[in-house]
This record gives sequence, C-alpha cells and structure tokens, in this order.
Amino acid sequence: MVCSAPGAGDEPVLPDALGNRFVVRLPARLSEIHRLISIIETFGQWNRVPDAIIYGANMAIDELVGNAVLHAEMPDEALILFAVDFEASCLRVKVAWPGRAFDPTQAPRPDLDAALEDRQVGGLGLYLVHAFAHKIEYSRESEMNVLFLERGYGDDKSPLAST
Amino acid sequence: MSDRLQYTRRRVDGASREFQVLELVGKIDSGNAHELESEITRLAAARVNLVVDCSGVLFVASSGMRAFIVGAQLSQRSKCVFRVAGLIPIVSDVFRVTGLHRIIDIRATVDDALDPIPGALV
Repeated sequence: MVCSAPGAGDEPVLPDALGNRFVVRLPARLSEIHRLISIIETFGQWNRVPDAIIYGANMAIDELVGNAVLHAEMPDEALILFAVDFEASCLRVKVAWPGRAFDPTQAPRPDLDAALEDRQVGGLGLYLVHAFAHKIEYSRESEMNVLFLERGYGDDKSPLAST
Repeated sequence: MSDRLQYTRRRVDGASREFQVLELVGKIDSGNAHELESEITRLAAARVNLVVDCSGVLFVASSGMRAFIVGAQLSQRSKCVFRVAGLIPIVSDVFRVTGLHRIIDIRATVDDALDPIPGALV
C-alpha cells in the first residue's frame, strides 16, 4: 500500500481500510514533518500501538527528517522515503534520503549531566533516536542514505527503550 | 506562528514579581521549533520573567527541547526567571531521561511557577 504525498497543500491519500504498513515519499521540507507525524499517529492508533511508542517513533522520525533537510544538501525536489511497518508488536521504520552521506549511528552522545551553562544545544535528537530503537542500522545504497530502525513493544509507558 | 502550534502571551503578577506567561497549544516539531526559539529568545533578551505553559503541548521534538535549553541559558545570564509548566507525563518522561529536569526549572502547573506564597493554597 502506498500513500502519496504529492506536495504542499495536498493531503496524503490514505486507503479506506488501514493496514499495518505504509510507504510515504515526502518532499524534503521541514514544513512537511507534521503531515508525516499525523500519518504515523493514525496508523499507530489503528494498529493499537502504545501511545509511548507512537510518540517515540515521531521523535525519531522528526530528528531524521530535520537532519536530512538541514545537512544532506539534497536537491530542491528531493523526496524522503519512509516505509513503516507495525507488525507483530514490532515497529520497523526504513528511511531513505539522497544527498551527502551522513551516518546518524556515529553521532557522539551529548553530555546529559552538564550544567546549564555548559549544556550543548545540539546532539539531543540523535541521542533520542538511539534511545528509542532496539536496533538501528545505517547503510549507503546507490548514493542514498538508508536508515533502518526497529523497536519492539508491549505495554510500554515510555518512548525510550534505554534509560 | 504555524497553525500546528498556537501560542498566546499574557502578563501575570506573581507573589513577588511580574511574569509573562507564554501559553503553547499543539505540537512542537522541527517545522515550527525555530519560531518558538525565536520568540523565547526575544523574550529572554527583553529580560522578562517567563513561564512557558506547556499544558496544551502534545509533542515536543528535540528541536523544541533545544528552544527550552536556549531559553534557560539566556535567562540565567540575564538573571531572569525561566520556568516550564504543565508538561504532560510522556513529555515530562523524555525531559527527565535527557536530564533537562536538572537544568530547566519545571513545575507541575502555571500557578506553581508564579512564585506561590509558601503555605498558601493554590
């Protein structure tokens, strides 16, 4: 099943019966993030995914889109691909984006214990991506950055798997 | 401000000083966090005692947390108050895990953030 996200001002086309997986090709603009978050919430609620998992997935995806848009030097009409699967109490997300190679799995961990005046404002987002996922893998395929996330869930109350 | 995040600002007299309460409603994502950071930065530069009412905030991406860190840092330098109030449990949980509760003054409610008189009922 494929959702189309043709461009600004157009809403994604969703089928009448929601399944447990979808693919979205999103224009690479920060202004598009809210539409993707809404789709994930809708599919997550349909599939009875715990709210905490939906929340964590949206945090991770927001960070990955933001990084891609701001740092990947993508062409103006670039699309970011999302394939999301909510099967067998396991959320699997595949994100693919063109442009400069960037491996989010290698980002340094921020100092969460730093005093306010020493606290760095960056790095928190990728830390949250790692904290959300049980499994995270990056690869470079045909000049595309490809990231795979996996998070199993039961009755999770926290978005973060590792705390 | 994006229609996905709405905000209003009002002046409130606390027990001992004046506050500006910035009430946020909606979701803070990377599409609108920079606008929020700009607003918080503007208020901090004006040396305002600021309470950010997040009781209507359903989602805070890392870019939103960045805005709060920046607000706290600027307010610390200008010796003004910066408090965040009313975080819903799931947001509060993420703030705690990322250590933000140690560097940002977080209160349960806006009333708690407005310098309540010790022992007074609120």
